[in-house]
Amino acid sequence: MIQKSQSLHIFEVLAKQHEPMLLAYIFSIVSDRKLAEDIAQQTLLIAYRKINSLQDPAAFPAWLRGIARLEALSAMRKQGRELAVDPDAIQQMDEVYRQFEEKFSTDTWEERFHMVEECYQKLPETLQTVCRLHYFEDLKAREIADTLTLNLNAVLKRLERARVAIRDCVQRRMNAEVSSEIS
Amino acid sequence: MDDPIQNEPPRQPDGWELVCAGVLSTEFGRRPSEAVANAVMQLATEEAEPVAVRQGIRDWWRSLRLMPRLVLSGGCALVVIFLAISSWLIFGDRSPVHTFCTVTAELNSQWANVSRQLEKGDTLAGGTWQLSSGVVELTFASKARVAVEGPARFTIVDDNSMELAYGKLSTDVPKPAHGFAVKTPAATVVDLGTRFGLNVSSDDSIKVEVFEGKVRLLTNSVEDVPGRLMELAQNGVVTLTADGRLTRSRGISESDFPRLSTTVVIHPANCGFDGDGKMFLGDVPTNFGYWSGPSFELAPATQEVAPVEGRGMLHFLPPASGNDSVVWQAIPLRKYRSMLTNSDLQMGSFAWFNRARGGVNNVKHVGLSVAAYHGDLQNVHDLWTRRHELALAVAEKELDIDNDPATWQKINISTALPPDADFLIISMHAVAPDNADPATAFSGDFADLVDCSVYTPLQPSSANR
Repeated sequence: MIQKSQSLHIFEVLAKQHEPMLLAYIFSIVSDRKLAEDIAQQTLLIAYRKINSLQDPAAFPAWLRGIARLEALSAMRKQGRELAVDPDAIQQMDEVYRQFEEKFSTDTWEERFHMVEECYQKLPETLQTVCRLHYFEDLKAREIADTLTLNLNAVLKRLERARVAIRDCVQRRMNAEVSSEIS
Repeated sequence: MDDPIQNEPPRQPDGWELVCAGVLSTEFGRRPSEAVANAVMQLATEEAEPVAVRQGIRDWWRSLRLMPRLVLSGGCALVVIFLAISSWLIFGDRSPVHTFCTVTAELNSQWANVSRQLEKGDTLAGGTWQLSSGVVELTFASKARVAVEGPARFTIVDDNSMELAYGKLSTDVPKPAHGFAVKTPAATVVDLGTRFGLNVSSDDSIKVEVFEGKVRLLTNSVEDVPGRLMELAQNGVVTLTADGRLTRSRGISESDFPRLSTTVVIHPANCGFDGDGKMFLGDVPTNFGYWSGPSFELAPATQEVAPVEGRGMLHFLPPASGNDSVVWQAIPLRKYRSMLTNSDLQMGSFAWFNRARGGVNNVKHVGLSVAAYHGDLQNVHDLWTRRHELALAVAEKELDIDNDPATWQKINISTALPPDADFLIISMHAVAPDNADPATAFSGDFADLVDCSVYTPLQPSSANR
């Protein structure tokens, strides 16, 4: 095996811990799984090279998201793709991730994401299907429309309804989690 | 399901929805990803370069290591000093490397755009070289060895990596040099302890064949096709075109690539004539591992002659019969056989000779001989005297020796060695002067530091043999 320095080894462990979050975060901005992989890789290279600018090791995930955001936006610009995301929404997204970290500080990302999975399971079958095709099997909305013989707008609407339903469910659970902790 | 509002355009998702979409895309964190593995691999490859230990990483890592222990120990000075010392030990700067590699062999090499042709023994400290034809063997400071066959253009990057713009090479990378990297126009090939062959064509496509061990291939990004990282096992073959098309297959053809030399140096027992090992006055030795001869001694430095190395040297004395003065040693070869491939074996030997300023009676010639035999060490006298008919191979040379005690003169001999050779007999002799007078002849003839080697020479690929 190629030799890894101890600092790289530590970095690898840290990065592995936050890999699901990093990929999810980047996907939210670029909506392309393959591109998200590349940007994640690029983000990690930059992070390691600049790691001395990180003052507080506890801020590592937020710091990683900061690099990822810039990389994702610049990749979209370079590829001439239209950014389908409102900048305010990205900011709000950072806030949501921060809440995830604060409220479930000892959980892994897989554990934190489990709440989203439970909400997905509650979706009606039709909405689960479009989610599965779009998010798990990487089909574009146009391809889903062809597969399900729907028009494009109907697919986009179903995806939106699914997201909204999951969002509302996750928000309810997060609040419940907090109140149960308080009581 | 009906969609009552399906004609309204979809609105942009808010932050919460974005998070949910992202989480879905990772299948709730379960979807496998290569992002960390690839990034770490690339970083490790970079770190293998000598400039890689960056101050920033060092400081950050140090602060991470220091923090919890400082808290625990309440800032104990001893702990701080201990940690400071250990950090220094771990992260202390490497001493600068001035020479990255040495030319350890060459065969008919012709270089373009150089003021002087490169030769064996030349050291290289970076730079780009263009080999028009022939083969050159480079040994890096890391101990990685590379045979490059022309026409080729390569750049020495540092003590464990190089670039190949075009041409063929093969490598042999021992353990300390793991991570040896060759960058090509299409990919970077990183060695994980192995021998491999690499061919970069003029259209920038590459072919990698793994003869032994494993290599890692990091393909370059081509436009919007991102680079890939893959491992290639023994016997694996990969071809990669400049536009990123990749084909994997199995079944190597080592003879398509230049072949590195292999050398096993065999030291005769007491080869520097410094030790007190056993020696016999007599005929050709009947056993392995000692010097034997009718008339010789081990001598310390004299007023005129100092040994080549060590504290002793061989002093030829005149034999009673007035013949040449000879010493022999028999050397077993069987134990070296597994270390050498069986084809194109060569054997070579060298020894140093000197003579003190002396009278006319001193010898004018000295000689070195090696003969290789199959079978057992029996009837040795016959084996030696009839060596030209009984031995598998014989190499010998005589030398006119000068009259200057300050200079040692070297005899080099070599010959092809059949693979079924079982032992060698090596001999050095001083030729008796014509008018040899036992009382005065051989007043000062010396030999020192004799060695044998068995090797396969550097060879071009089969196309150029």
